[in-house]
Amino acid sequence: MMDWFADNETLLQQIGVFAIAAASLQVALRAGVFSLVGAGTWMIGAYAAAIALDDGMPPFVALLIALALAALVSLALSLLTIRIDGLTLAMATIAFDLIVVVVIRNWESLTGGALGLYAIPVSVSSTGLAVIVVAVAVVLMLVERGRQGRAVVALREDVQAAAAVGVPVPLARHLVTTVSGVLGALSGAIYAMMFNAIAPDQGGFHLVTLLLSMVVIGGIDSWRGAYVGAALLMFLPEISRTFNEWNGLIYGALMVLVVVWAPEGVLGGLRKVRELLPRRAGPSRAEASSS
Amino acid sequence: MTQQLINAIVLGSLYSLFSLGLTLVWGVANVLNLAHGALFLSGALAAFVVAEAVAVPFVVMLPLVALVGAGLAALMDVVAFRPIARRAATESRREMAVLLASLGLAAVVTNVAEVVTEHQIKRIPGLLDVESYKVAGLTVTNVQLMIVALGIGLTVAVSLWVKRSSSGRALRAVAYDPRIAPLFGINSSRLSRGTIMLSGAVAGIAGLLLAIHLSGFDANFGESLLLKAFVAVIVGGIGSVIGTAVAAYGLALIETMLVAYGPADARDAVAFGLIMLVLILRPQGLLGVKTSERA
Repeated sequence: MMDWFADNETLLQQIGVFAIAAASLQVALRAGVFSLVGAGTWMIGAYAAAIALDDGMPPFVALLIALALAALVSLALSLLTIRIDGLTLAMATIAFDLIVVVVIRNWESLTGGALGLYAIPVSVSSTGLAVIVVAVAVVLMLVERGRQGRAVVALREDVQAAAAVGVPVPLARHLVTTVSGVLGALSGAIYAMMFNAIAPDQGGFHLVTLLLSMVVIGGIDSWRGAYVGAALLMFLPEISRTFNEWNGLIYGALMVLVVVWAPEGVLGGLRKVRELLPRRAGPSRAEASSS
Repeated sequence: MTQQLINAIVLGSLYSLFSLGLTLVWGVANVLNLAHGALFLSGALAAFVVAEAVAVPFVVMLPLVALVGAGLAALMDVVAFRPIARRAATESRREMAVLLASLGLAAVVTNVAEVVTEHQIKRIPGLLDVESYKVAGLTVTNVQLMIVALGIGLTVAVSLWVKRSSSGRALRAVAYDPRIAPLFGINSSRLSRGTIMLSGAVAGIAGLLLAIHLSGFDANFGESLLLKAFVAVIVGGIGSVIGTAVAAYGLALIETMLVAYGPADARDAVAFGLIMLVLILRPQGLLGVKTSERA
């Protein structure tokens, strides 16, 4: 068992890092806010942490700087885009993600341009990452339940009805977008501090696709979907090493299949299968959660 | 100065050709097709594959890539957009699902292109020799002339079709309300598929032209244009053909002038600044109308 961990440490680290990134998009999508700001703040977080470390800050401070910067940027973006919705919001936030990469590529004195930053001191351990991944999961689990959780679901299902029953809609949207942005930056910062290099090619359209496919394949309705999706998509290239060249095709096709045939993702699909199986005593979990 | 103006018009024509389909499909079928870059890519890719095998004259290649683009777009509609529309519970869920599926489709096409081009920049062999003409001290190439002619020609043609023809009016009715239009005998599903195929055909042609213009293409070359197209569509107004074209030429002009006379680094920031400005001040776009009256 320990051998297996040692052999697959990098893979597990990647799963942990991208689980948080996927959760960043999932938080917004679950609330019906079609904001993909997390892919942009992922890059901002990665670069901010790398630059702060390079300036001699301790890792914890570097991480805080990255998160604070991302919180400011995503809050500002949320304020700017509060009047738009749906597809237009998706397009505006994808534009933001693309622009972040353009700025990074052009700001050579700070970001190293197209080559990126490397030899970033490794400053997060696997244990540290594990603690953060679990902590994020616990926070998201608590938020999905309870009053805020129901407010978020109301926001997704019917904005007007949500407002009518007292959900502060604009505030909730700013909050959701900021949390999404901060989670993105958290993942990006850990990535830079763990794998000690970051380049502009890692962001942009490619990152948006990767993170969204994780969320969609795993299941959009819960943080668990994001985590499962991240694990599946990171494992996939390992299993299909011989088809490495066709990774894009495999996860692109998977994404289309899931969106068309199983819109609730792998987790939703499993739940359906469980409902079809012979009943045990007591209400199934699906019923309990849907009521 | 005049030379810069020519460059701006060529660039604007390319932006316009690329954005035309995106804005139409969004306006009519309410689909934000992020695989539009993949349709664009398919034009260049198909031309490359064909030209590697046999020598085909340019006049044959042009309709051929239009067919490939239209066919691929139809395929996307059949395997993803249509089945999603049939199943989705609400309109906002459908919008989101279609966007996600289009991202998946884009990944598939890009991957195929990566393998075919071996991750390199490829030149389409022996299709068209770039010839330069000097007129009154200005240099233009035959490829530039063709881009401008097709850019302006197709934009005007599509715009006239939407505004004046009876099928164009039907199209606007579908954009206005896809459920009521059929009551007036309009086959709205056929029209929206037709629109998606038209957008694919134009994107395919645009892809081929850009690949010749830049004398090469790679698997990612549609993506850089996606941001410009976002600007054109948002600034011009979703579904507005003329608005999108005006915005495309305007953006190209600003960018060209910045590169020539101002800080070139600011070029891409202009794109984002414009999107944000319009979204804050006039979310329906400069020439756009309210959501309910699109296209």
